[in-house]
Parts: sequence; C-alpha cells; structure tokens
Amino acid sequence: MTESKKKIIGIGEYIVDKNPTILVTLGLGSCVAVCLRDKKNLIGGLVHIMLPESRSSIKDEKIGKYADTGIKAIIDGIVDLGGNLKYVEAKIVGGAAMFKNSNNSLNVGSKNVEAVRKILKENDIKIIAEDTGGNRARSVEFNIANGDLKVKKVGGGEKVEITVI
Amino acid sequence: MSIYDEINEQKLDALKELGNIGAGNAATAISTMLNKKIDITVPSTEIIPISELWKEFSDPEDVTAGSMVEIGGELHGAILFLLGTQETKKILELLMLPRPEDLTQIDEMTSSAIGEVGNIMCSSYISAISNFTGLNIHSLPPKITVDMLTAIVSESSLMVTEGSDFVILIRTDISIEEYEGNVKGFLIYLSDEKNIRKLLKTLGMGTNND
Repeated sequence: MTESKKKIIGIGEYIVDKNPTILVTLGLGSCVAVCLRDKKNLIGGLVHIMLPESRSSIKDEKIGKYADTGIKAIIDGIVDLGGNLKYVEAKIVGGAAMFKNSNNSLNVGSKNVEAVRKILKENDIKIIAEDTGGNRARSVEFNIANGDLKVKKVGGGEKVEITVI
Repeated sequence: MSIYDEINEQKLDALKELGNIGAGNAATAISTMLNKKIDITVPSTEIIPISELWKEFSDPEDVTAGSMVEIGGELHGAILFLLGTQETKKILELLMLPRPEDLTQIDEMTSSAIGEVGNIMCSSYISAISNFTGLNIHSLPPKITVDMLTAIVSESSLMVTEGSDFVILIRTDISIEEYEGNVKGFLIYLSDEKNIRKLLKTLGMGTNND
C-alpha cells in the first residue's frame, strides 16, 4: 500500500491534489467542508468554507472562505490537474449549531449547507454522502484514493467517535 | 494597512497587560467562589490568521467545556472560558453540584451551572477591562457548549470577527490549587482588528490613521 501524505487545510483555505493524498480539516462548527473528487482520475479537493456568499466590495479576500468562490476554486483546480467534471462527486460535512441559546450560529450553519447544495446543483455535481446540521463540531479526513471521508465527532463517553461516509 | 504592520511589540505588551488584569480579576472571582487558590498566567498575546487557529493547541480534538460571553456596548469582542472535562467536573463538585458521568450528555441544570461559572469568570474579565479603559461595556448572556477544543475556539472567533481574516487572541492558562501539573484551562480574549484598534486608542496607543 502506498503511504498517503496528509495535508491540513485551515478555515477559509482549500487544497486540490492527486492521489495519494489525504486532505484533513479540523473544527468544523458552522463551517462546511466541501469535498469533491474525480473518481476516475483520482483527483480531489477540499475547501473549508465559512460563509455562504463572497462580498465583492472587499478586495484581496480569500476565495476559500465562501461557498460560491470556494467551490469554484476546487472545480477549477480539479480541471487544471487534468480532471473531468463528468466524474466528479461531492461529499459535504459541517453546518452545525454548536452553541446553545444562540440563534446566530444556527443560521450560519444551515445557510452554509443550503448555499453549498445550490452551487453544487448548478454545476451538476451530485452529493453522494453528507453529514450536516446537528449541534456537534466535526473534523474530517478525505482520502483521494478511494473517496472515503472519515468524520470525527464528539460522541458519548467524552470520546471522539469516527464514522466513514 | 494590515493589522500585522500596525501592531508592534509595545502594543502587544499593552494587550497582554490588559489580559493580565482581566484574567486576574476572573481568577479572584472564581477563587472566592470555590474557596481555592487559583493561579493564572498570560503566556501569549497574538494576532492569528483564522486559517491557522488549529495550530494553537497541542491536542485540538480534546473534549472541552466552553462558555462564551460576548462584550456589548462601546466595544465588541468575546471572552471564552475553556476547561477540560475532568476540571469541569471537579469545579461542579466543589460547588456541591452532582458530578456528571458524561459531560457530553449533560442536563439543563448542569449546563447552566457551567454557564454560570463561565459567566462569573468572563464578566469579571470584562468589568476589569471596563474599569481600566473607562469604556462603557457590558457582558451578554453566556453561550455554552461541550465539544472539540479547536472547534469551540474557531466557532467563537468566527462569531466575533464575522468572517474577517485575523483574530487577536490573549490566552490565559489557569491552574487550580488541587491540581498539580497540567490543568487544561484557558481564558481567551477574542477580538477583531477594528475593535482592538479602538481598545488600543483608549489606552493612548492609537495609530496614525485614527
């Protein structure tokens, strides 16, 4: 088995890479990790978005922060590396409302998920798996080799539970 | 101009001192409440790109109890009180409250007790800032969560900065008398760039642009 290298993606950042790579991002609260993968050419990308829409009024903004610009960046990146949109599938994780008695974060989380769904649909990219909403934060590891998305979430017993979607 | 170019060593020191005063107040309040000696240290004051927040903690996935108290009035920001699961249980015990088996499955009463401890810590911090700067500020009701450490800090930062790229983080380590060695407790002052400029200005350290 080839050793996959792990690359960590911070809030508002994105990476597109070829197999073998595992893309990692930590601490998704209301943020959403959008994972796209060309299953034929084994090229994939992950963007850790914070907000649904970019604000064009502000210059030098990081494009990975927003659903609209971030997803576009990943799509372009996959094409640049020789991928074909025809084979691209999506998995999305995040959009939680972590804090009790807070309406603010609840709105941001669900709005982010909504925006992501809409943009993927516009680009004819199918969401094949997702773990969104709820009130738990998540960390993810996205394996470009097989498309496995490992989701870590605090479960019972004060432990971090791992599921693969 | 980026906040990086504006804030020099001297200004960071001023913020660190502010953190010392705020955290000192918080420690006194909790110490009185629990009748235990509490030590605090302010090891760092930093301007951190939000994208690199995850690097701040040695174990980013630690299960932690967090209370966040936002600052309202003439200054916006938040104080975040973070405490490891064992330490939180110990404090609940010291307050003669039932010790929960599993902090991730707590009832309303335990959750509000944790929120109240957080509220006392954070509000003391905020009133110290108010006294020191003369700014008319107050604390908003606490928000509580038990989750992964990095996620709590990231999410709070996002709520405070509303999506900007940098956050100012004044971190305070807390240790309680009965614990020897490593106590997993932090108080964090979170602010966006605009409000930190305002704060510095009241301390007589405004920038040329002001």
